[in-house]
Amino acid sequence: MDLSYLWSALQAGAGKILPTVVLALVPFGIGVLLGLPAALGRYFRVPVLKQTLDVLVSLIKGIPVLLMLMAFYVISSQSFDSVMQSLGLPFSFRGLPKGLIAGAALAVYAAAALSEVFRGALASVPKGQYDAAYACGLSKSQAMRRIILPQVLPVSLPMGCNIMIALIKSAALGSLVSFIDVMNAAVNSMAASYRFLEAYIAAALIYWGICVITEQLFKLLEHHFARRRTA
Amino acid sequence: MSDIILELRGLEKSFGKRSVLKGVDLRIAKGETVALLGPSGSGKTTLLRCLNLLEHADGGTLRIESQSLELHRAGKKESLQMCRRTAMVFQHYDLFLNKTVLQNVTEGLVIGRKIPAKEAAQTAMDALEKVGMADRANSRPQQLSGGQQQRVGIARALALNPAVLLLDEPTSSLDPERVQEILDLIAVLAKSGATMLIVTHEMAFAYEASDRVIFMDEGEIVEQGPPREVFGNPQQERTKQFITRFLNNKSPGYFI
Ligand SMILES: Nc1ncnc2c1ncn2[C@@H]1O[C@H](COP(=O)(O)OP(=O)(O)O)[C@@H](O)[C@H]1O
Ligand SMILES: [Mg+2]
Repeated sequence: MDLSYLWSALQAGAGKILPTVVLALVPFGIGVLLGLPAALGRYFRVPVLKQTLDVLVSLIKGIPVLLMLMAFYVISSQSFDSVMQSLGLPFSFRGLPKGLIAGAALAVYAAAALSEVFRGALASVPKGQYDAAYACGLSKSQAMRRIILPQVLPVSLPMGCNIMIALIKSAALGSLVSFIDVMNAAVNSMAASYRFLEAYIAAALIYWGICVITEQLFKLLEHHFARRRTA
Repeated sequence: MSDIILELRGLEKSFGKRSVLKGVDLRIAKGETVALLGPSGSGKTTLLRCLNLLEHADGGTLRIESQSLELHRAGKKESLQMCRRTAMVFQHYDLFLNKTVLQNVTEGLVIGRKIPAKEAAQTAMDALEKVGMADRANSRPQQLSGGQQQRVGIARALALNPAVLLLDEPTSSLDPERVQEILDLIAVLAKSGATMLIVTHEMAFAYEASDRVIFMDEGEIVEQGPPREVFGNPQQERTKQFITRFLNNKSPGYFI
């Protein structure tokens, strides 16, 4: 192993930290926005919605993210142009940022995974909290916003952190649709010299770093909520 | 009794095929303290929950103050309005775990009743003062003992200034040495003119602090009357058995 190659691979990989984090963070955000209502629909057994979501989540959980990504790619390569044409919009598949396809696949995965997390967290709130809220004259939505969800979100943090980390690592799959993340940048930089071991070690170190920082950020959030609960 | 503040007629409630309340009638006068007794599973909690509209009844009409409601077809808005006429003290306290003691009490005032925050805080502090918890206003429920939590639970209900205060076995989860102080607190409230319906297994308390005792069994009111009569000279066989069982278990002779 050659340290100078490692160093230049590190530099190449580090240059793509931002797109990597964005490719994980945006799907995570979308996953929260979709996963929370989905969890509520499932937990409160909204007719039809619950059954539909149960099947969807089970399906998404059972499919490798890689497969979903490829399916999204194939579907959009076949139909994006004709859809845009029929809508009269000046976009083409050729000009489509491929990160969007990877992001869409990761968002679907994140929504399913986070809906499971939120559902578990909802189940951890004692029934008495609902009774007390209604008995104090709160409406259903007031009880949800002011009493239940503030207890659900802190409980969701540790599992949410795991999903965020899984998303960061999954960003590497973006290379299949020519999205360049940390790993692909590091490997590409060594393509001429065939120093792939250095490239892999460099990428591993960077991912590790990102994940450690992510974990610390989530821990800070957890401490913030824990302090609010007991102080 | 002249000034009837709560009037319930023909309350029916089933869970699935199991009929839990079979046509319960109930009248409570302003300022009255009513003790609701009965074996476990007789429907006492369900009755309170139906009065508070936490449970959707299958039939019956409820009037509290000036509002009447057919319970099985009550709309959201009327239900919420009726619900706000009562307040509930729970067996397991059920304080809001994400709120401080003070916020527990102000929540229903500010959010449920749209009272300005400042006024609500004042009302809440007065209620906490009454139950001896004003000095813990900024504590979290997790930092309090069971007895302290129940005091806050009582303050939370009192602050709402309900027409009728509903208490469901308020001392059943407490350590034995804490039971009496909570009972004493409730007795003080009863004397100060609050209207209360209290489910309890504390017979001595029911005997001394209540104006009327109702004995319930299998979803029906079996017998009711002044505590002296119901305890001293029960008319129904089921009441006799229930009271005798309690006298044998607990210290006998206390109220005879
Ligand atoms: N949510 C519920 N679902 C089904 N059965 C219930 C429910 N709540 C109470 N019950 C049943 O109704 C009956 C009366 O219960 P409850 O009102 O809690 O009695 P008590 O408070 O007198 O002990 C019991 O048989 C109980 O099992
Ligand atoms: Mg009960």
